[in-house]
Amino acid sequence: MALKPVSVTQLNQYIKRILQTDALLGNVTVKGEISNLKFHSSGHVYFSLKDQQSRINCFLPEDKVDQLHFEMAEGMAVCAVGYIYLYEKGGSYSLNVKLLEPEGEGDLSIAFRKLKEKLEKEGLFSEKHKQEIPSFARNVAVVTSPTGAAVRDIIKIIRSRSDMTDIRVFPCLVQGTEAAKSISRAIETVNRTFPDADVIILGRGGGSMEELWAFNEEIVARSIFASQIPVISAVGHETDFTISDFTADRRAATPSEAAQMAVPDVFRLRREVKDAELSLEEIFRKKLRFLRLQMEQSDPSALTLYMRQRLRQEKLRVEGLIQEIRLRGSGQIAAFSAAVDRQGAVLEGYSPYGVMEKGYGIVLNEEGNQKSLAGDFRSGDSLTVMLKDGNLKCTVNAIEERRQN
Amino acid sequence: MDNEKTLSFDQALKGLELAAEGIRREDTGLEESMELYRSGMEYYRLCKSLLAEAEQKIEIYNEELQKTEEF
Repeated sequence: MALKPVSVTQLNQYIKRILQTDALLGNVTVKGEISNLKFHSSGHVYFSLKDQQSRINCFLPEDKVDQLHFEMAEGMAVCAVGYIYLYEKGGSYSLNVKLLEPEGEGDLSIAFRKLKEKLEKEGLFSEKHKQEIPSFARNVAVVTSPTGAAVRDIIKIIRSRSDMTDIRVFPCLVQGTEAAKSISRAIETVNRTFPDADVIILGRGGGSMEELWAFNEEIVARSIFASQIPVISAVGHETDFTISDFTADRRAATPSEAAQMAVPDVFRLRREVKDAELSLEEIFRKKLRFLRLQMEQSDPSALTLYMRQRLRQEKLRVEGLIQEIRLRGSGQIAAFSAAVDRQGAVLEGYSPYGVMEKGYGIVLNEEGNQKSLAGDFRSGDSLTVMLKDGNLKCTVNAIEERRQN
Repeated sequence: MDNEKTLSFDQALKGLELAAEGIRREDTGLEESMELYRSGMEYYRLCKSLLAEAEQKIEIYNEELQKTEEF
């Protein structure tokens, strides 16, 4: 038998009382995947958590959004702590979230990517905001754990390079949920209490992605960006890249490398300066020697002496040459005239008169051209035979051709 | 140490080197060489004073007491 009917409001109020007084529902931890993610203009975040079969509406109030250690993203596996809340007007319930954490490394990567995209868009990584690291730091602030390996490495390296650089350590937590806030506060403290600092080295030694996570939180990036003092970020090992690395003015692969970037090698510089001074002196002395030499040469008496010397030298040289020509000349002329005689004899052999000397004659036709064949003539032709002492004018009586071999 | 002084070490070292270079040039006369030498030596003294040994302090900031202590 049913009771007397109740109003809708009364029913919802009743359900609300049941739900919200249940000890289990008042503090429940739920695992699920984020979906239907909506960032409301009020700052609150509405989303659903779902698994294979079911979903539940979730509400993350603005003040809790600010405390998030990561960027929420669709499809991200998370673990939410909260209580069940009934919305009377709509008769719907939701999980009112107090704490939200990513589940597992893969989801940290998603959170990392999301925050990186967001800050990149805002220009926090932009080159134009990067401050130059002074090349000659005298005061170095170190923001890190005071007990870690990083601080020891940094101090060791700085002391090996300089005996005049002051180091001030600003301790902070470098892992755990409070680390990001602690780092951020330390950066602000350096800016406030140690404005003389030339550079801040921010870092920690190696660790897992979870252990380095504080350096991937937005609050740290904001403090680095706001720092008036340039920041070198050195988190973990060479292969670890954090949001803090992207936001800082310089990234160092390791804390030791950060120390090298921050502090000049004063011991080496001292040697270099000394060398430069010695070389300046030497160059100056050389210059003076050179100028003195020049001056001496421009002095009239020195010039006369110099010219006399030059003249003597030139004279000797010329005389030497003449002598040489003379010596070589006599022998060469004799050799040359002998050569000419030889050539003359050869040429004479070729001369027609040389031939006639030996008793030969030269035959010319009527036109006076030299002919050497019987076939050049016919019977009755006139011809001339040149001999040594005169010419014979002849007429051809007969032609007897000889067969050629 | 402020930025101005920071820059001036690099500048001073550069000045020292440039002075030497200037004197080395063949067409630099006596007067100019002497002037370069004088300024070079001045840069040298500046470099040296900037590199002068100082007491190196290694401290840690105590947030609660808001002061620094020896590390």
